[in-house]
Amino acid sequence: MSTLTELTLRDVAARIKSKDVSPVEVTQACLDRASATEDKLNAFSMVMADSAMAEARTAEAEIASGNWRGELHGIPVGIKELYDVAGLPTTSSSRVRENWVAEADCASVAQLRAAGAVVLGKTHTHEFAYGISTPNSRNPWDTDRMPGGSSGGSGSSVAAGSTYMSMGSDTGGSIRIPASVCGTVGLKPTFGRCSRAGVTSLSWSLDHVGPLARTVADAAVSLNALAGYDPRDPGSVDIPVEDYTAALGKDVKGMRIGVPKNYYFDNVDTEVEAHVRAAIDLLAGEGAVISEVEIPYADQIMSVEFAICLPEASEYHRRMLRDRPDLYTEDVRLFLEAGELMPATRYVQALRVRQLMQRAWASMFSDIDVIVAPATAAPATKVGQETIDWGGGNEEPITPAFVRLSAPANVTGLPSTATPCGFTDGGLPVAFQAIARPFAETTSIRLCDAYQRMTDWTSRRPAV
Amino acid sequence: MSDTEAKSIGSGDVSALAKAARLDLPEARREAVAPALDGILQLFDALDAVDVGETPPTNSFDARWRDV
Repeated sequence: MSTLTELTLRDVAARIKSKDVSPVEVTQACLDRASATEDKLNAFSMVMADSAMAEARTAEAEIASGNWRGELHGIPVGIKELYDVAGLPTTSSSRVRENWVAEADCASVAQLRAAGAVVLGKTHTHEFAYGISTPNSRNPWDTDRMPGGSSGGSGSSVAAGSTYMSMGSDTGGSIRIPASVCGTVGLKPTFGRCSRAGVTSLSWSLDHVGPLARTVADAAVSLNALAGYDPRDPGSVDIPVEDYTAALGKDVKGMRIGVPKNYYFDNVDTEVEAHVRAAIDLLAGEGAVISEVEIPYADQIMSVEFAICLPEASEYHRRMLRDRPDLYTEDVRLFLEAGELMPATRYVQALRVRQLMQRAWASMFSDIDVIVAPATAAPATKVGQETIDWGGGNEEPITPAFVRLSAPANVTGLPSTATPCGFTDGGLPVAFQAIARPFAETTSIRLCDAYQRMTDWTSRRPAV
Repeated sequence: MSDTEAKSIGSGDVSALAKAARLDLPEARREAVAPALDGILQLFDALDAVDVGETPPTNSFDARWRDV
């Protein structure tokens, strides 16, 4: 890895601003890094070397003439394969949509381009974002292991140093799961904070878009470009956007952290639990006030998540499932077929329980500012591994094993940032997540950034 | 607890449900879907433990006209 690709987004942005390096050099370094690692990782569905270099030259000229737009100007980024990029296929990493060409940039890509970012390539997703393993791609920390999903290519590309930030989407954890197992930061904003217009849907009621980046600060810079109201997205909420970088560099003194006494530490890998509890102790030592909280409706979280996601996904795919069923991968086809057959009343029942859950979470937050809990129950599993053995005859399929700790923030729509907090003895990354009140991304960012400045986990790079 | 006693979903049940959904599922697919659907429906049984009372669903139609 070259020195340039080892830098954080903010560090390289400072060097671009000062004209110490040019976007052309930075983009070439990222392309070289991708070229050196793609045979092992396959993080990208498409690397756009020519257009990326053209965009970098444009950025270089703009900055040379005194028109520096901000910290994303000239920064190479990755775009999840679900996102529309004008003139390019949006395959959703599926043969079903291999000829689907986008007419216009989706909202996120338009926002990133407006901020001057260079689109380096498109990153693999689990087919149609309907899974947590992203079988096309590999984990840079151990290429025998999955990069998580569904934004697995995004996690892999950021961790490998091929991009400084890659976009993800999160319906049941698909930003935070790959971030956690790839050792990057993953920021899922509040439902409605960032526009999903032009991003292939998995479940309209649960989908979020957001960045995966190397540091919390890099994610905050990215969120500044991505947040905002968009009437094209019916879930978008018209409330003022904050400067998320204003939450950086602060301490956690007096911050009230809720630590779940149920649900989040049930059936969790012992090394994951130890690292997350050590992180909580460190935050307490810096003045955070810790209290235990009871997660309400814990037994219903996964029921609500799946009872909403399944029928919405099946309806989105209704025509494609009938026209080209054999082109789906088996796991996704099975979910889509099963989703067609569940009673409609279950869907409505889940939406009603979701409402009660939202109220109960609001009540739980009356005495706390943020929840800190494991981002995933386990580190990256082996490619093709289907279950996790928790001992005592308790074997859990990997999809619920990875989704169950991230789903609460999808069902409640609350902002959650996954942040690296250690490595297993086997060298695999571990992360906690910080879940805050609605539209209080700054609280989650403040805590995670403070923790990151106390530790060195995000400075480590995989040997791939 | 479920409102009624849970019964396993078999290939025949899937055939009837698929017919209602206007989804053509060959026998091999019905065999594959049955256990998956059974597991999913069992997961949803947990919803029955909640008394939702008069709670409306979370999403509601917005009658305002907006330019998009």
